[in-house]
Amino acid sequence: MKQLASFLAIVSLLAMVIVPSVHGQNEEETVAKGLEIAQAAQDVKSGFGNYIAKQVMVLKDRKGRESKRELQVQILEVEEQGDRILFLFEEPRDVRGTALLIHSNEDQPDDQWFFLPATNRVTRLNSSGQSKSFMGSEFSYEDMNPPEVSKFTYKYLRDEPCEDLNCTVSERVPVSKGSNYSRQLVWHDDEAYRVWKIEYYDRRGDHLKTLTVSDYEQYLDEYWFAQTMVMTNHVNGKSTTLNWSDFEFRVDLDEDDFTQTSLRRTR
Amino acid sequence: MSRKLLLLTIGIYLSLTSNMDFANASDDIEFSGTIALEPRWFWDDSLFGSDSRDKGISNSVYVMPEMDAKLTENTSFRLVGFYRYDETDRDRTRGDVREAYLVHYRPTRLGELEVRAGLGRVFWGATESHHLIDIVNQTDLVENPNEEFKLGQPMIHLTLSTESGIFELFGLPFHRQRTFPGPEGRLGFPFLIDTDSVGYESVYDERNFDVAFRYSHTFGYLDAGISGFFGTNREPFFVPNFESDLPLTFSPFYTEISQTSIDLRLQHSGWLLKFEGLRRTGALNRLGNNEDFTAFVGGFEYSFFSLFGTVVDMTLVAEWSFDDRRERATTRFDNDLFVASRVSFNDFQGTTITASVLLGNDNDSTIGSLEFSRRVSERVSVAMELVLLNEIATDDVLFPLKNDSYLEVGLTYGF
Repeated sequence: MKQLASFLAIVSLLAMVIVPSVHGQNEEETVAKGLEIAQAAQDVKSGFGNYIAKQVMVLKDRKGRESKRELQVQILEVEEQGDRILFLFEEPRDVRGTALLIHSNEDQPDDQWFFLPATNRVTRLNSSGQSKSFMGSEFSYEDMNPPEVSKFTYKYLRDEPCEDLNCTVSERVPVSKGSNYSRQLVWHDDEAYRVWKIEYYDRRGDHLKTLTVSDYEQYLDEYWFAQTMVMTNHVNGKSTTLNWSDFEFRVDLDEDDFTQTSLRRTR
Repeated sequence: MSRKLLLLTIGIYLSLTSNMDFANASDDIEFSGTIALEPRWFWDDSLFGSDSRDKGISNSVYVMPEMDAKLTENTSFRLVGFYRYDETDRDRTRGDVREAYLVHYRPTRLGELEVRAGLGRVFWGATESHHLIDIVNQTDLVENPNEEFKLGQPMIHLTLSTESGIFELFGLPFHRQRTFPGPEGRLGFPFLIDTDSVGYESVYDERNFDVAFRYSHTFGYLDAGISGFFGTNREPFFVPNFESDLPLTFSPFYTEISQTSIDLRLQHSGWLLKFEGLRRTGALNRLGNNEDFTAFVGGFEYSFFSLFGTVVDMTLVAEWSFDDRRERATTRFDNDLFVASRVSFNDFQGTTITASVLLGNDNDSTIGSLEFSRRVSERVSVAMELVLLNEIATDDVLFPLKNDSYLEVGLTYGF
């Protein structure tokens, strides 16, 4: 996987050198390059197997008032299929014990089930609700799901410096009509295809939200994971800071830990 | 029964807290719980019963401690106690063990096998308006007339999760009696129920060994389940005690029944379709005659997300319930339409409002409810429930509750 990634990296770097970067690009080339970057970014990220991590969200409104959410997330890669994700809600107290299971599907809506501890009930969620706010934050369910390559069409736009690195800026358009977005702009660095920024444009084409990503750390000598993500909503003036911590990789998790039966065992 | 269970819980709780050695890290044991203040305001005098059922505010408070212990990597123990004190209703002042079970799971050649033993809570079903097929646990009716609250059920529960579905088997060695509001309490019956002189059809009384099974599977966007229950009914028939002294009392009588049921949830582009249906034999109808019956409830849920460009979501629910015994049915849901709207504001406080109405098709009964909930702080939340019962027809099973409309304001603290 790593070899493929570096191969793709070299190919795309060559492409950048050979193709004069400014005017000469035609539509086909920018589309191909956009897809290439997205695929490379996906490839360098895959192979971690599984991990658990802690998420703390700090929600801030226009007046600066804050509210906190705490959850544990468990993620499992499944070959030939999308990821399996389990969110275990811990704070605030009234949602403690609630769990959300997502079976991400490559090119169709995800399957989502909620576990409600008060009645020991597992209930299917309407996955057309991608635009629904995740725990009242500026992240939507759509934003929390892994962006599988097949869920978008791509176009490379330009190069731009980001932090101390050089970034490519690509546009991606969601395939799903149920998406809340008309398009997104994504900043990937050349070095390891890490995402540094995403701009989200709503269905009317207005700039709705910006995600900035920082504090990358490398795990298993290979995988880069960000510790800080800030989602700013330009329309309502609110923002949410998502802090990741306590990563544990390749723990004892398999597909049996992401079923409706295991969901009932989450508390 | 409930006193024994309460003592058992306290015993287990104390022995676990005083003997922490067996799980040598405190990480492996977690204590939490809730305390809530739940006054109810009734603005009309009850149609039947004593002065204590007159209009006014009735205070009530409950505590629900929880403990979760991880014993080994694949074994854990969960304990949930419950105690409520009610100012007016002595029968509502009581304790219960909601859950006290060991759960162990391990991979096998066929799939993952999970074993649960103890007092547990099992939920079967799909729909929102009522839970027709949910039969494993007894209803704690004194808690709330909505039948959503259940007593802990002694059980051994095996679950085998395979590629071709989830197979479950339940052994239920003990029957627990339904709870009812007492003679002083509101939302009660016009007659006295003597739960001390309960009757059973089974010669083993409450110790009849009930069994149940369930098979469920996900087919694409369809979740489907088939369940069966063979044993003592959870719903009693009331037999008058003509031999006893006046006033006349009634004794609950539980027959032996068989119930087979299906439940479906299908998601299709923004719609969730839900259905529950059952066939039950061996139960007594409203007239006290043995009558086999078929009942179902089904409908849809549709959600509007990000309403008018805000973060507010609205979900509409419509369900129709039917019982082929019709006027001889023992429940409210003989031929009724349920319509509800739930609005989630997705704000910091997680504010939600749910309004619902249940309309009788065979009579002019209408039951309305309005629920509101909102967090006040990280640990405190407030919930209000308004239940309107004044439009109930005289031939309705709920007619005795006609004057029992109420507003409950709950304040819950999580620890």
